[in-house]
Order: sequence, then C-alpha cells, then structure tokens
Amino acid sequence: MISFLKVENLSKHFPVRTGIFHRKEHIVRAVQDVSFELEEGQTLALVGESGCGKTTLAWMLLKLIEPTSGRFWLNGQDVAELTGPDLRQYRTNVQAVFQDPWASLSPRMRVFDIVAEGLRLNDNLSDGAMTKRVDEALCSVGLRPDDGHKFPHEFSGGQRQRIAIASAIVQRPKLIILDEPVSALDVSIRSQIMNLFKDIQSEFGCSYVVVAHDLGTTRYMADRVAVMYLGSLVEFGSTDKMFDAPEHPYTQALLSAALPIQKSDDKPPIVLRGEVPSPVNPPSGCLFHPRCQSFIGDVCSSNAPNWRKSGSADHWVRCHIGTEWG
Amino acid sequence: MSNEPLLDVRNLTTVLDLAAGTMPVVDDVSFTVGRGETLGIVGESGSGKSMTANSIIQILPKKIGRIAGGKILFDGRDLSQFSDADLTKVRGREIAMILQDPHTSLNPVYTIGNQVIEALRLDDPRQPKRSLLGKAINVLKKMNVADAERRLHAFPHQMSGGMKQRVVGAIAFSSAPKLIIADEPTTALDVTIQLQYLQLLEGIQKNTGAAIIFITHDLGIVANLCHRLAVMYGGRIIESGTVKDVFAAPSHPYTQALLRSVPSIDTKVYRLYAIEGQPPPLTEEIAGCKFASRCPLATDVCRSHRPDPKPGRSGAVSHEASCWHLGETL
Repeated sequence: MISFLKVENLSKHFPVRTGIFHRKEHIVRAVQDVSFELEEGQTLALVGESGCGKTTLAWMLLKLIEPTSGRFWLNGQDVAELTGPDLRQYRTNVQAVFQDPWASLSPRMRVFDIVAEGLRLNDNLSDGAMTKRVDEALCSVGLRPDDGHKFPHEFSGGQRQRIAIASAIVQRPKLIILDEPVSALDVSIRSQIMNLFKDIQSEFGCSYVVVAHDLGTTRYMADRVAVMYLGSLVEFGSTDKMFDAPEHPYTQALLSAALPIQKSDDKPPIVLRGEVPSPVNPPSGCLFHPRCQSFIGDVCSSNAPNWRKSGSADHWVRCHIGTEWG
Repeated sequence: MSNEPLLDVRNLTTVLDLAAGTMPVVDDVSFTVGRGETLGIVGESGSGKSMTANSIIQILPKKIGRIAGGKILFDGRDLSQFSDADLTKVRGREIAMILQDPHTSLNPVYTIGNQVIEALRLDDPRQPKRSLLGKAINVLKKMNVADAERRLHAFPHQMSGGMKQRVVGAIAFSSAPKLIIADEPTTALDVTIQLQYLQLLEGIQKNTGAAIIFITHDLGIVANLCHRLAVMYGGRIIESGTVKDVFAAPSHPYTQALLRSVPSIDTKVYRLYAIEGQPPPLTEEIAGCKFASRCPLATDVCRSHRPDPKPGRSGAVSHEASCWHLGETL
C-alpha cells in the first residue's frame, strides 16, 4: 500500500557566514534526516522548542524551500520531480494556515478576493461557480457569505483565522499544514478554532501536519506526534502512547514542563539544565546529551543513537536507554 | 510586621480619554496582595489585566490614560495621590516590573553590566560604577546567569531569550523591591526554559519575601505558581480567591468555561468546550454583566444589572464571584 505522505531522510542545511569579512562559512543543520509517514485523514503534530526545525520542515512540505537532501512523496508521487501542471496541482492539494492572521491576510483585499485568489489561479471556474465555492467555504468556517464584502480589519483575531482557514479549504486540499494555528489567539477563542479544524477534517477528510509547541493542543488535535530536537526527530508514535508513556528523556521533560491545570504533587517537574545548543555547532553523540536528565555515560556523548522500536506497534525512539548500551 | 496587606487596591477605575469617548479599561476593580504572596491576574487580551498592573505605578498611555477613581494603598500610602516625582522613588525600587519581551525591555546599545549597574545606582547616582561591579555580578548570579563576570560585557543580542529574561529579573530584584509586577514574563520563552525561569522566581521570592503580581493568560502557570488569583473580563474582576478554591469550585460561568476549554495533556478529550462569540469591545457601554452576551446562563437581569461580588461556591471566605446565577452550573 502506498502511504499518503512519506518523508525519507529529509534534510535542510543553511549556510551562514560569520567573521569580520563574512568569510567563515558555517552550516546550520536546521533539519537533519527526518523520516516519517502519515496516513490519509490523519493529523501529525510536529512538536519541539523554537529553533528545532519544525517550521523549516513544514516549509519544505509546502515547497516554499527546497530540501538539501532527501525526498518526500504525496500519494506515491515524488514531489521533487513534479513540474508544470503537476506542480500546480500539488500546490492546490497542499495548503497552509499560518500563526498570525494579522500578517497572513492582505489588508487591501476583500475577504471574498482573499478566499477566491487560489481558485482564480488554478481553476477555470465561471463567476457563478466561484462565488458558490467561496460562499460554501465561508459557511464551513462559520462566517456568512455577506462577510466576503468586508476587509480583514473588520474582523477579530479568531474570525481572521477563520478567513485564513476558508482560503485554505476552498481549494479542497488533501493536506493542510497548520503552523502554530492557535498560538496567536486568545484562550477562549482557541477551543473554537481547534474544534473547527476537527469539523473540517471530518467533513472533507483532509490530513493535517500541525506545527505546535503547546502540548495540550497537540494531544487534542493529533493522531501521531513527532518530537523534534535540534533538527532531528527523537521520538515518533501515536499520540496516546506518547503522552501516557513517553520514552525519550527529552519528551519526558517537555511533557513535564507543560504546567497542568490539575496540579499533581506526586511528580516533581523535570527541570532541564542549560539551553538548546546552537545548531551551527551541535553536540557530539546524542544531540540531547548535554541537557539529559537520564544521561548514562560515554555512549551518549560519543555515539549517535539509532532508532529503536518501542514495545507497542508503531512507536519509535532514538535513545540509548533500553538498548544493549543502556 | 503588620497584618494589613502590602497592596490594597480599592475600587480602582482607569479610563482612556479617546476621541470616541471615555473608555473605562479598568472598571471598579478591588484586590489585595499580601506580603510575600503571589497573585495571578488572568484574562484575555483587552480584559484590562495589564492596565490594572500599570495603574498601580501609573505608567499609563501619556495624555489619554488616567486614574478616574479609587485608591491604591501600598504599604499604607495611597499611590493614586502621589506626584510623578514621588512615584519615581517607588518605581523600580519598591515596585519593580518584569515585562513580557526581554528583547525589547533591554537596551540594545548598552552592555548588560551597564544596565544592571544603572539599576543599582538608582539609590545613589554618584556612586562610581567600578564599586558596583561586584554587586552586579552578585545579582546576576542570584538569577542563575551562567558566567556572570563575562556576561557583564555582553550586549543583549549576544544572549538567548531565556538568559535575557534572567537579566531583566536580576535588574528587577536588584533594589530588593517589596512588590514585583511580572507581566507575562514567560510568554516569549520556550516551555523548558519557562519552567526554569518560574522555579527561579519562586526561589528568589522565598529568599527575599517579595510579593508578586503575575499577569498571564496561562491557567497552568497560575495553578502551579500562584497563591491566589483574580480572573478579569471586560475590565472587571469577575472571580477571585485562592487558587485551590477557584480551581476546585469555579463559580463564574466564564471561569468554568475557561477551565473546560483548555485541552489537557493527561487525558484524551474528544470535544473541547468552546465559548462562542468574542469579548465585547471596550468602547461598548454595558449596563449589566459583561459576559452576558456569550453566557449560556444569561437572563434579562444579567443584561440590565451589574452583579456584585458574592461568596463563591467553595464557601471559603476569600472566594468571590460576580454573577447572578452562581447556583447554576454551565
């Protein structure tokens, strides 16, 4: 069976120049050898702290930037080989909703034109058919067709994000990349928008790749979670398993740092040492070893851990603990 | 030490005089902060939580912002009657502030050392800088700034966000303030760094006995860090009490809805509770309860009459909520 989205050894390196005359060249390994698969109609969350490469990975999937190496397939098609009309079709099939609806909507365009823009570019629709599609999309996100005549500044943050969602779903995409879709919204609005994403998924059957740093959002939205640290995946698996029994020490620390509303006094939170190292000069061995609370010795600082399968069917961890080393 | 609270805000009303009219951004707000206590003020953007805190030391928008009524009793003195010159002696010394974004609260063209020493010289501007170097290193070390001696010569852009926010904290604590106003201090930080920072604040607070007003929209932080909390909506405090009481028996429908709309990381939820609609614009004059337009329990009395604080559901003395339908569950 061909998987819906398959990513294999995807890497993105950025050159940076430093020194007085910018002669010294370094390489930032923003994303390093990332592989995963996603089934149709499912939601994958990319989780990690700022600078871990989750947005860079999302941009590669959107073909906003080209990978340095590695490939990915959508419905069995190698995306790197797409050209001409096929590439246009890919851009229709894969849509995005970004974090900040104040920045992502053009202030000079009416809502109707914002939502219709993609249709104008890619489909040959009559005016009547286009209006129908736009009105349907606006209704699906809880706005009224009349709202199409207004400008973005006439709406609140939550409603603007609804406009951004309408302009993504109007093209009936197969995959929508959500880059921190609720982070800029107020707490009481967030749950409205998260519920809307779920409704749209059950209505249209689209898949999501959601970039998030909020773990509550992740648990609610995602079927599968990929935890990233310093450009690499460290743990990958089903959401429930990940949250109930995280295996990688970094995932454990991340979960423990998310302060729950129901305070549980039995488990003190894991406070990590130091900060995320620079991706220009990443640590040897396991990337996480300088901060790891479960550091077990030389093997961590000298050998990069391989993926190992954890007990349950589809859960993968990259840590020496649990191998013959640990 | 007396038993009276360090800060006693009574019926504070702060307005903005705009072309469109006078807008009450803080509307008849009363609360207290005890010595060494942490009060969390929770609310959405535009709920008036930052304006409430800014009113205490009166750093309001120039010309348009003013305190229109109420008292701000700090250590027995009414700050609302203070002249600007008198307030200058309080700001940064007895009451210090930590703001949200460490990238903008430090000056990019001065070294860290310069900025810490500037704060240390508030008491005596004629003190030579050199004599304060040791003290500067000490305050940085207290905030766990690694390599403090070297950091003195560093510029803000050479440090990470978490490290910068520690420097801001060091500057705030350098004058041994009685009260720290922390306005979303960890919102710009990553979760693992946020946890480090919050534990640091807690530790220093225990050592110095300073009180903290912690302004946030994150209920998780409040549950883990604060002793008491005040929930704000539309410029008013709609519920207040100890963290334990309010979280165990949230009484105002807004508080109940807020707690139910935050996804948990411990349990799988299939459908989140969502509060429909959005907060009313502050320019809108509302005679009754400000939450009425979004509240499923609202009746005519909610829309016409403002509810007064009544005992909350926990039955505790300090737990109060302003709602006409306290007996009903959302």
